[in-house]
Amino acid sequence: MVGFSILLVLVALALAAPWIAPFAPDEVDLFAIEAPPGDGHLLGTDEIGRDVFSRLIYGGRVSVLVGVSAALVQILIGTTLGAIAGYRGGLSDALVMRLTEVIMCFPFYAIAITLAAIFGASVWNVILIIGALHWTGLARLVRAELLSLRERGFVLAARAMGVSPIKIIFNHLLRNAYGPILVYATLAVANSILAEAALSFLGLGVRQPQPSWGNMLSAAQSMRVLTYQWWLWIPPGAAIVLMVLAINFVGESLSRALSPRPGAPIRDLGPDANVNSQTRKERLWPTRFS
Amino acid sequence: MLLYFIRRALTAVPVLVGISLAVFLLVHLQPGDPFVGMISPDTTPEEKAEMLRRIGYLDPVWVQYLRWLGRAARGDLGYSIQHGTAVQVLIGERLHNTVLLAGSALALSLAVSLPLGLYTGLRRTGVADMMLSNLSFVLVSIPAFFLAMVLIKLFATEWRLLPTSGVVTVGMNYTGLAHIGDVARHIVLPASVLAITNIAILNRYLRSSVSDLIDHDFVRALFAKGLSRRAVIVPHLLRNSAKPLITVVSLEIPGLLSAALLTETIFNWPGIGRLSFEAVQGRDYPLLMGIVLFLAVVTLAINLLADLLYAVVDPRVRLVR
Repeated sequence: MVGFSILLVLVALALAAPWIAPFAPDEVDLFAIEAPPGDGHLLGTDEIGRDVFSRLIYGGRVSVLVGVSAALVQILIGTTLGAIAGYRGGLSDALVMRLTEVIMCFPFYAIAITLAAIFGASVWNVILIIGALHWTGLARLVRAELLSLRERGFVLAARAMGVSPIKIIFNHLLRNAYGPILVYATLAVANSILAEAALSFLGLGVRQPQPSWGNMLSAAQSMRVLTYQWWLWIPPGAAIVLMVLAINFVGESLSRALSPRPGAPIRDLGPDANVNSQTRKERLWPTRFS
Repeated sequence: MLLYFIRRALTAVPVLVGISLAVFLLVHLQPGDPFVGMISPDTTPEEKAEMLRRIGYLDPVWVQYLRWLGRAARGDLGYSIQHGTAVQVLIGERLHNTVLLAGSALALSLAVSLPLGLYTGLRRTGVADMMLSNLSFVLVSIPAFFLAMVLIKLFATEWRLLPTSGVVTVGMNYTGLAHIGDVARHIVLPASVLAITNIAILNRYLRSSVSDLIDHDFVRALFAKGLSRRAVIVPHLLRNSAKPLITVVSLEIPGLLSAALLTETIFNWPGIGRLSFEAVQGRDYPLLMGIVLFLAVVTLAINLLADLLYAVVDPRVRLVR
C-alpha cells in the first residue's frame, strides 16, 4: 500500500508537471546560476541557471514514459513469441528458445550503448533498445506457463470444439497465466527506468536539453558538482530510488496477492523448478540492470 | 554423463552461430567504411573503390560473413580505430583488471550473502528476516552509478578514506606487498558497488531455496531421526541449495561483466567495461564489436559450464531427455 501511494504521487507529479512546476524545464534564470536551494528555487539551479525542481518533475515524465513503454514493448514481443513457442512447440519452440538464448548472452550495457551509438540517442530509441533486449525473460515465462496449461482438459475441450488457436491462446491460456505476466510487467517497468537512467547518465539515452533523471545525474561526473553542489545530483538520484522502490513493492504485493500459494510470492521458484536447463532461466526477479 | 555433456555442448552451437550473426549484422550496420579517418582526403573515389574491392568490402554479404567468422574463430577481431592496435590485444591488456574487479565483487557478495541467506531462510518469520528482505528491496532499487557517486562523496571527498580512481596511486610505483595493498585500497569502492546489488539478489534467492527445502519431507525425516540441527543443515541443506546457487552465480557473472561498464567508467578502472565505453565515445566500432563478441562468447561458455556443474551436483539432470 505504501509503495502504491508513493507511486501514485510520483506519477501524478509527473503527469501534472506543466501545472506544478514553478518554471519551464529549459527556462534560464541568469541571476541564479548554480544557486543553492532556497530563494525562489526550491532545489536550486544548475550550471546554466535552470530550476532543478522543475527539471526534476519534468524528468519524471521521461521515466514514466520510458518505463511503461519499454515494458509494453517487452510484453508485446515476449508474450507473442512465448505464446507461439509454448503453444506450437516443436520447431517454432526451438527457434524462439535459441533466439532468447542468443539475446541473453549479450551483456546488456555493452550492446545497448552499441545500438544507441549506431541508431542515435533519443527517447524512442531508448525505449526500443530496452524493449528489444529485455523481452527474453517474459518469453520464457509465458512459454513455461503455456507448456503446462496446454495439457489441461479445458484446452483439449476447446480444441475439440474447433476453437481457433489464436482464441485458445488469448481466451484460455493467457487469461490463466495473467498473474505472473502482470508481476513481470510491473518489475519490467522498474528495470526499464533503471536502464534509462543508466543510459542517459552515460550520454547515450535521453539528450539535453530534455531533462531526465539519468541525464541530470550525469552532472555529477564532474568532481566539483559531486563535492560541492549536492542539489544537482542527490534529488534526481533519490527520485529514481523512490520510484523504482515503490514499483518493486507494488510488484511484490501483486505477486503475493496473485500467488496460488497464500503468502508466498509466485516468482520464488523452488529448487526443483530448476532441474533442467530449459527452466533454469525462468526466475523472475533478478533481471540485473545496473 | 559424457553423453549429457556432448548433448549439452551441441545445443550451444546454434546459439554461437546466432551470436556471430548478430554481431556481424551490427558490424555491417555501423556507419562509414573501414577507411574513414585512415586515408588522406584527396584520394579519388575510384582509388578508394579499388582499395575497398581489394580488401573484399564489396563482396556479397555472405562471403564477408564467412571471412569475418573465419578470422574471429582464429582470435583475429580486427583493428581498433582509436588505438591502431589489434582488438584482441587491447582486450587482453585490460581483461585482468575486469576479472580482478568482478572476481572480488563476486567473492565479497558470496561471503556476505551465504551466511545471511542461510540465516534468514532458517528463520523465515523473524524480525531480522523482514528487515533484511526490505533492505534488499532498497538495495536493488538503487542505480549502481548513483550508489557509486554517493560512496565517492562520503568515503573519498568527505572522509578522505579511500581513493576513487584507477588501480594504483599514480607516481608512487609501489612494488611487492605495498603494491598489493595499494590495489586493494583502490578496489574497495568499485567492488563494493558491484557487490551490493548482488548481495541483495543472492540473499533473496538463497533464502527462498533454503526455506523451501525446510518444508521437504526428507528434512522432516532427518529431524525425526533425532539428528541435531547442525547435522541436518551442513550436509543436507547446503548440498541441496548448492544447485540453485550454481544457477544464480552463473547468471550473475555476465551481469557483473555488464554492470562493470558503469562502475569501471565512474571509478576510472581500466577494464573491459571502460574500454567499451571509450570505444563508443570515440566511435571505435571494430573495438566495440570485438568486446561485445568476446563478452557474449564468455557468457555462453559460463552457461555451458554451469549446466555441466549442475549435472555433477544433481545426477537427475543427466537423465532429462
